[in-house]
Amino acid sequence: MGIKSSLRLERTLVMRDRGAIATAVALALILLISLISGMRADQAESAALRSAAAKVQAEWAAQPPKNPHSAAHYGILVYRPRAPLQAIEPGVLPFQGAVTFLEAHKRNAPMLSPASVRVAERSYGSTRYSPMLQVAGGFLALVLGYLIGAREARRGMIPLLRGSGARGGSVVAAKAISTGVLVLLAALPSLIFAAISVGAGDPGLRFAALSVASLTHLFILAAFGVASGIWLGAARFGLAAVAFAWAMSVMIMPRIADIVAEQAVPLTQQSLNEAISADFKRGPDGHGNSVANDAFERQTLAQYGVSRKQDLPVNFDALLMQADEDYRGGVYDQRLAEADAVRARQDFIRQFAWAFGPTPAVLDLSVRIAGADADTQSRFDTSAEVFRRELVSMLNRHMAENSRTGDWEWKPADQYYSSFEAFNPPMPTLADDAAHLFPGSSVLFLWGLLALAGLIFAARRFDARAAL
Amino acid sequence: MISALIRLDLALLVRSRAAWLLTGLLIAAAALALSSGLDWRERYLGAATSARAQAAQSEKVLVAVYEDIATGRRQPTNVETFDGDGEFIPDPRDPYVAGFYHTRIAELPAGPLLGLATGSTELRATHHLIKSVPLASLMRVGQPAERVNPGALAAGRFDLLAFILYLCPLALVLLLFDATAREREAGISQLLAGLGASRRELLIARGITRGGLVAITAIAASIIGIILLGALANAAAGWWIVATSAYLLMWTMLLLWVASSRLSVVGSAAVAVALWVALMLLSPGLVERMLRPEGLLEPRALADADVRKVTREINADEAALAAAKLRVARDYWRIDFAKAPACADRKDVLKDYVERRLSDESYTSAMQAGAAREALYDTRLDRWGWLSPVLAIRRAMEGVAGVDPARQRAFEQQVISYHATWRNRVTDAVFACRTFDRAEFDAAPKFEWRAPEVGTTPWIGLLIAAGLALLAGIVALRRRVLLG
Repeated sequence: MGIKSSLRLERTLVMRDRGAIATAVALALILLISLISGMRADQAESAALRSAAAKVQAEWAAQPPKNPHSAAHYGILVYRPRAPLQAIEPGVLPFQGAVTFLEAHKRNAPMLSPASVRVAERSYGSTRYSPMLQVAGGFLALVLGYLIGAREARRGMIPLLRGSGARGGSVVAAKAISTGVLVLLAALPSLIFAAISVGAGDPGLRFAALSVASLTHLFILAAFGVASGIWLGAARFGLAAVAFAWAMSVMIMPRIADIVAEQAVPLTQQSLNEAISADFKRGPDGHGNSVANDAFERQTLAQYGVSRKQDLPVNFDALLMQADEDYRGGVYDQRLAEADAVRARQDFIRQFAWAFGPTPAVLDLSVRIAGADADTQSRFDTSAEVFRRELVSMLNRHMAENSRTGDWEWKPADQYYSSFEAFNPPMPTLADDAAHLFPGSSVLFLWGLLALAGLIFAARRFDARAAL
Repeated sequence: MISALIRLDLALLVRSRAAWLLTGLLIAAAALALSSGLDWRERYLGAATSARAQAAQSEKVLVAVYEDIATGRRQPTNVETFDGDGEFIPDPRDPYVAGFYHTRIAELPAGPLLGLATGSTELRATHHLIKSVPLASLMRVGQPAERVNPGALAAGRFDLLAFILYLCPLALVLLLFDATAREREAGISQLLAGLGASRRELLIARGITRGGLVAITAIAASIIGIILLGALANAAAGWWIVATSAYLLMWTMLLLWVASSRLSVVGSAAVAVALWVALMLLSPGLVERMLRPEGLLEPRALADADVRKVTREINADEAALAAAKLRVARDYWRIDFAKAPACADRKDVLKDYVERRLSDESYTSAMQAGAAREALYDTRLDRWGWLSPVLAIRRAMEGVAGVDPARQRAFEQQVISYHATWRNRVTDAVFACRTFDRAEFDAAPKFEWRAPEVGTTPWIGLLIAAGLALLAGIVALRRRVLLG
């Protein structure tokens, strides 16, 4: 019996298997429901943040004339833009602040995480489309593969099949292909629907990449299912052991890696804040006293060749404020870079979970392809800070160049504030994010090779068992 | 016969390497969940350490200044003539200055079973430093963010609640999906029937051994966790155990219902696994999104911007400030400055307090609007949460553990109220031309957390689980499917 005959036989058996068909239909429905529901939720949330951003910008532009440094203290809020595939893969973004208050002297952390008002979308991959495809789809693909792989072993039909001339290679290949086709058919309706809703351009490209990665992952799990079904099909608790091993790889090992990362390379917001506060005390203080203020005053007087602040041709208060900004900006840069390095080490440790199954790797890949990863949040935070520094610097400079020291009542001309451009964060394309996709893709590729090896060994096992 | 079948099933489990592996993994997962949850409790309790130290230091400094002023060792700086040069020694007797320097801490104590469940405690503020500064500055916090790794935060903490909610049902699915189908397919059921065992007895025996194995692991882990938390005497502990038992009973009965059907091993596995995916992974998010009210995020997203708008308007010019002052005097302070003594109308001080009062008005209103939308959301979830039994049970168990969003909203409300008390105390002293002497300082009330009523939520979750268990059990045991 060649591969063609085996495929025909498998197709017939799968079509007659109500359990397998029911599982595939259930998967298709679950994915479609998850997709539609996630898109509706995303629309509401994105609209809320978009309208808030427009309102805040309009209010900034329309503010009455006031001292520029005072305007810098009143500050402005900026809102995180929507990630390209946010409706189907929100990634880490719901758990990170979506709004940053920009003000003089201070780099505030983004606040108001959307997840703080809804908590279901967490734990083991949330209920949005892509995590659902990876977690639920992956699990069902594994179970389908197992049930199809174990069919003959469970019913004691291997000798019969072998007697009809079937070889392990063709049987296993036929089972793997049949399972793959079934999984593909189950995923296809939602993938097509999602592709239409995402549209063309960069989101379309990202979705194409996500689809390839997701289907590869499903095929890998289906292949593992088939291989383990052939190996363990006769064991009473074989499916239980396989499914529980999957649960360990998706639910337990990543959490162990998280705990190890937290313990091995500790970092808390509190320790970060304390380090920043301690550094601030050593630098210039625009609204207080410090040793650094005296040094800055001496340096400024020497630069302008005068002996008193009052004789300066510029407003010293504004210059001091800017010195304070520059120093604190440097402190933030240094301390946050240190924190980022710690986070990178934590993430490296967290990646050890990828060794226990392909799902953690594809979940990471999905978030990165969708542009909803920690780097996206970091980019928002950084671009907001760049915007804040430029804004405050422009305001301080305008005040320094147009008023004299001690003149806190000075105000710029009407419409001055409407001349500022709105916050416009960068929107990187898939090509910009490509380097970050390499680790996840490589691991997925390795898991693909392992799945292939599993199928080869399963074919040998089939032949060996049939020979007994 | 049931006891004989139980012994038979136990012997089967004991001889199965896969069953041993499964049990071992289940116990290891329970241990990990406990350790991870208890670690978070430690971090939660330590999160306010630095804020507490800051409040204590502030109090120490003020007490020293009070004592130095009393003994004449130091003279406070005159706030109205201070030009920014030299050391500023606050005069804590001046209520305006006291408003800046009196610092109190408001902490949300850990819920009785925080450590078994994490809930939304990782996402909302757990403490605030209270001064008479505008509320927006106090509440402008992102997250307690003891965990600053976004990936780890998004993945969620694997606590005992996650173990009970997700992993135990999965173990039940894997142990019970073929409770009768395999015997039917292998032809063993005829032998069992010949020995006098009915299908009902086989189902009951399988439910007791396999359901019992998972339930004992979950309950034992819960009891160990409760003992480690020192919450054995707390009523919440009892509720937790009851809810865990009801939930696992519900799953056992649902799976026995699947097992009692005529489905083959493949069919039973497919239905049981699809049931787990649909109930555990799909339904909670689906129901939450379906019940989510409009405008849940907007009030909080705009709160700070609205405050900025209010303060900009007040400070637009002298006339705007005068009008704002009149409104605040009429609506909140209940003072007529025309008749009040001159000392009650300190221009710079009141300018500041007018701004604070109106910005607090705006911010409080936004926070309360946000809280009202969230409360509406909770009400809907209370009413319709049964559409996802897992969601209903989770909300119930989070409520019992004291890690639910309602508790955090109550904390937020109490912080707003405490801040208002403190701010009013300061303004009252200004209008009464009083000073804040040491006695007043010592008498200033401290923040006292009042736990909100837990309500009927735990009952709803339990009732759903118990009702479903009963229904599934009746259907499963009444089905006319013969063993043979």
